[in-house]
Amino acid sequence: MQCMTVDVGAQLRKGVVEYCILGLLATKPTYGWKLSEALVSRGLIASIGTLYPILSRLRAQGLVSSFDQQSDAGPSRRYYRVTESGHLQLATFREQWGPFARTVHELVGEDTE
Amino acid sequence: MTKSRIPRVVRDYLAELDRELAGVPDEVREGIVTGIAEELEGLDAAAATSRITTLGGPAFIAAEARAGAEPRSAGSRSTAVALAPPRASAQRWYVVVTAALLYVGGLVVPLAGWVVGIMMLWASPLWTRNEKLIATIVPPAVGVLLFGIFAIGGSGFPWWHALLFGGLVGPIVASFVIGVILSRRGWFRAGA
Repeated sequence: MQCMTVDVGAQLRKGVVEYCILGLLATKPTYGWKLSEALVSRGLIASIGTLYPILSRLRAQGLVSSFDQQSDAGPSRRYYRVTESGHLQLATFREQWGPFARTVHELVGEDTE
Repeated sequence: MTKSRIPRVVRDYLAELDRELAGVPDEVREGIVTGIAEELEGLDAAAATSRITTLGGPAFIAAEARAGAEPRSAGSRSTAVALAPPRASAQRWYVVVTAALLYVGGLVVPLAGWVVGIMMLWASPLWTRNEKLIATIVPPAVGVLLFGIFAIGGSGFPWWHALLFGGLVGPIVASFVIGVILSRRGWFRAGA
């Protein structure tokens, strides 16, 4: 049963993590480490090693682009931002997510026991 | 930072990480090593050790990267691509119709034409929530504001002039300007 619970969590994360990354980047262009910290702290990815394959796919799909930026105090970093195509993809996801989540909630309901 | 000034703990960690990432696609491997090196750059040994501890071991990171990269090499596609079939409200003809209604809809069919344009705007994912709110609120607000200024601001305008310039021309001009801006954004996004 424990194994099933872990699988459910993994499947849920797998389905939404790309959109969570797009959502974070849509707020503000961010570098990999900071993005990784935001996602790890929320339990959406296990480590920075999980992040980069997803970023690579998002870039290949034209949903995310990268650029190097010199910070005032620290080193030059590679930042990631959402492309116009990524914004459209994110808007489509937002539109579908609300009804989808409500439907699942209606069917699954609360644990009242 | 020269190599000699990089703490040994950082050099060893990055070297081990690079070894563990052997076989991972080059772009992913380079991204991980570069991203971590950027973060550790400039830190002294104690601070770098603290960061490395929170980061996890090279073998763990490499295993995660390998697992994440596998579906791609196996030819499976990301859920992001599969999610969005082209919808009518996300296509360029929809942008043209919506923009036309915002431009002149209120003139062709007074009020109703503009209302239909606003409804089409809200039904599309091409525009953000803030853009939709601005398009909906600003034209009536401009009308009310100008009417108030002309009618009760002591400008000496006859009331029907105030109604014409404030209640009619003001909202039409505002809606036209907003329509131009939003149609350009929507057109670009629909083709992206």
